[in-house]
Amino acid sequence: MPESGTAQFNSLVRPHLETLYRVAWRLVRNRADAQDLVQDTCVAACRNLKDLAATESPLRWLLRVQQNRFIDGARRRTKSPVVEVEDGADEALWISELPDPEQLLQQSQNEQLLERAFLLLDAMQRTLLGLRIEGYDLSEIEAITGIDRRLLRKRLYRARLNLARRLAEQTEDAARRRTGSKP
Amino acid sequence: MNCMDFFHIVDSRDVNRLSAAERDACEAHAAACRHCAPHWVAFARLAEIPVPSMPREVLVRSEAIAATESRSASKRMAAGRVVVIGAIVALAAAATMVWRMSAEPSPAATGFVPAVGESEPISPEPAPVLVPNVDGRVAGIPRAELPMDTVPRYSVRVMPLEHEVQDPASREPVGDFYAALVAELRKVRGLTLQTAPGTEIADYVLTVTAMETAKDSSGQVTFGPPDDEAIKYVVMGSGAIAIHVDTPKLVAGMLGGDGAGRESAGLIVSGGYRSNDSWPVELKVESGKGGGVRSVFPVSARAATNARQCSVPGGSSSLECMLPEQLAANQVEMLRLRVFPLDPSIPQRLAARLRDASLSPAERNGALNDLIEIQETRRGSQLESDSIQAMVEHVSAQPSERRAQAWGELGRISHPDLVAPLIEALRSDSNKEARIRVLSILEASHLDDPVVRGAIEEAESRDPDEVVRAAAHRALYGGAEWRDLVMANLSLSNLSYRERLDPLLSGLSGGTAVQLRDLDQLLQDPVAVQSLVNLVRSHLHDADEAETTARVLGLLRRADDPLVFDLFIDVIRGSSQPSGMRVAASAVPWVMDRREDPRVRESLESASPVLRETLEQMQLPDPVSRQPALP
Repeated sequence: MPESGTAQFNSLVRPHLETLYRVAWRLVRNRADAQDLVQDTCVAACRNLKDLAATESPLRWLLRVQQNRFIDGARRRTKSPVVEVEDGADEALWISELPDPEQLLQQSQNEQLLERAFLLLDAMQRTLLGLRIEGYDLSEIEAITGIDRRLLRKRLYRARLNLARRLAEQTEDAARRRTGSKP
Repeated sequence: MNCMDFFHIVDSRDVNRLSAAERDACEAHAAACRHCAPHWVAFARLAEIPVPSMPREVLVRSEAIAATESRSASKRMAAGRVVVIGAIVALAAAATMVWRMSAEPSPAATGFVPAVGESEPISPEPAPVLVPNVDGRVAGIPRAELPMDTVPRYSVRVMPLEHEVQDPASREPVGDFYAALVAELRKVRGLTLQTAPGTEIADYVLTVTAMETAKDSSGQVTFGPPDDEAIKYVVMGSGAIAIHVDTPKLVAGMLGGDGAGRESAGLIVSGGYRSNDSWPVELKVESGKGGGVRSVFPVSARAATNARQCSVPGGSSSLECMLPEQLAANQVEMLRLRVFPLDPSIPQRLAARLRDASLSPAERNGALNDLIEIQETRRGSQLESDSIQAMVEHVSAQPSERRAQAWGELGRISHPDLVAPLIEALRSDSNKEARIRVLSILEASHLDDPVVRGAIEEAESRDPDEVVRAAAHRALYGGAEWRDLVMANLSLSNLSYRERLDPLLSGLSGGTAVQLRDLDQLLQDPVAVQSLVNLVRSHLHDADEAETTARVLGLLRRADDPLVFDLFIDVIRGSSQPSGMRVAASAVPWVMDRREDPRVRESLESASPVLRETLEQMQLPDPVSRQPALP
């Protein structure tokens, strides 16, 4: 019955929308894509309300679905004819989806560089960092992503290093553009 | 605060809820530690960027979705009821017809549906696989060792034999090999064999090609046409066989597809065995629509041990001869080990062999190498903890002088269960070389683990050996102090030759990128180069120290320095002296890089004939027989 579906949605999903949006925004760094991601998650939740109701932690379930949607979306965007396959190969996903100009103007240049660097990470690294920065600890991230904790710690380590490396590259590029020098 | 404390916070705490003191301590540590600084940037600065509040639109849209989906669900349920009622009516009618016909049960009713192309499903209770135990690496799998539901299921299409061999004596063993291969595949549990033409796409396509052969006047078999991607077996005296393996499912899985077959990634995957010295096996991934090579996967570098060539009448091969049936059995075992989905019984069997004290060391080492290859060639943690435990036990039980090497072999793989034993070995192995090797493995593969960093910090402060402490310090903070230690030892003339070189050689035993970078920095120091050259020169003709000298020369090759150039010239000239050849062998790559230099060519004129022969085999023209170049 429509009423019961809506009621279940109100009790199981609606209380977590703010959190879903925060994490989504951490992943995609712009409002429109964050909204779309949350919307996709809501659709999946509505179609699986029975599962969602049966789970111990609806938020964890929702975050996991959202993470999968994000990674699947990123993967679809990388179905190019030629891909070199190596560890962590799904790089440079969603890189065209930079924050909109209005937002960028409001941010300091350092923040812009950091966000650009973040958007150059692969989808999984962005997911892990996004969840970690939102305050989820390793056991919670393990439950959401299904990644073994020992592996998780390593992946987080690599994600942070990668971010620092990308940030250094972005900073160098910006400095070059300012001085007009060539790479 | 040390690195471990720092990583505890970065991994476990909510950055937004750190106290001011904790934050200050982290900031201070990150400012002083080059390893931790980038992590702080990622952790703290990223968290500082505010998240905009959720637009009301999200709420409106989600409520609309909930309402729409609820209505759709109701409609689906209503439609579903109609379908169910219809299906019940249809089933009732069908049941009535079946009852009236009382015919023989159809194949579907027996539970067996033949696949297109006359597939041969494996029986649930297969006969034991009696694989000839060649070179101690292959053994039979007992019946019902594992329940069938744990055995992976996959299909293999064996293409008709492509037989180009014309010589009747060669044709027969090739045919025997092919027949034996098919017979061996039939025994593999979970494997559905497709041998007849059909349209069903198999998970693996296996093609056996026997290439055209010819014999030269000495009876030596030669193979033509040259094909880098074909393995060349000699079966019972003549004939050559190439095996190509297509593995769409495996590589689709590697690519992140769903592993369900070609459609998941749109790929055609082909693979082959190359016939260079190391006999690597590669899987080449190509676009299904002719888009070219996508990537190449190394499957194994040890195929040669399974694919021994037979001695040929009149030939020079000294390798053990193998019957076609043995060769086929070994090939199937190799495919199961490296290509097909892993049957869990294989690592279990190998772990049991590792623990079997009645087997020879070579047999147990073979099992260790096979387990390492399983882990190396298959992504993810394929091996169970018990297998890892067996490997660790085996390596730990090696004699002191072999333990460093054994740890190095184990260090080729990465497995979470290995970290603790490596740390334990770093803390307690009595052999210094073993501790250094373990340290280099931890440094190369696990330095991102805070527990490992803690263990290395402990080694840096508490290890009884100065060289280990220096290596640990270098792993944590860079190579400056290691270089200082190398220089200090080089200058201590009261130490023996080996002791003076110990920090240098021990500190580079892992051959990691970090170690090579530190070496290159050391060799940029002219004082260091001069000290090394003087020390080596003073022991150039010391037969007892030839091994050590050769190792140092191997390192000095990386230095672009006139002193080093002169030293190598002396090494070449001294190669004809007793023990000189052992030292000179390490100069071969250096000579190859400078073969056109007149001084090098001149020095080769007085070199040992053995060295000249070696260079000749490596396609360096013999300077003695070669005409002098025109000015």
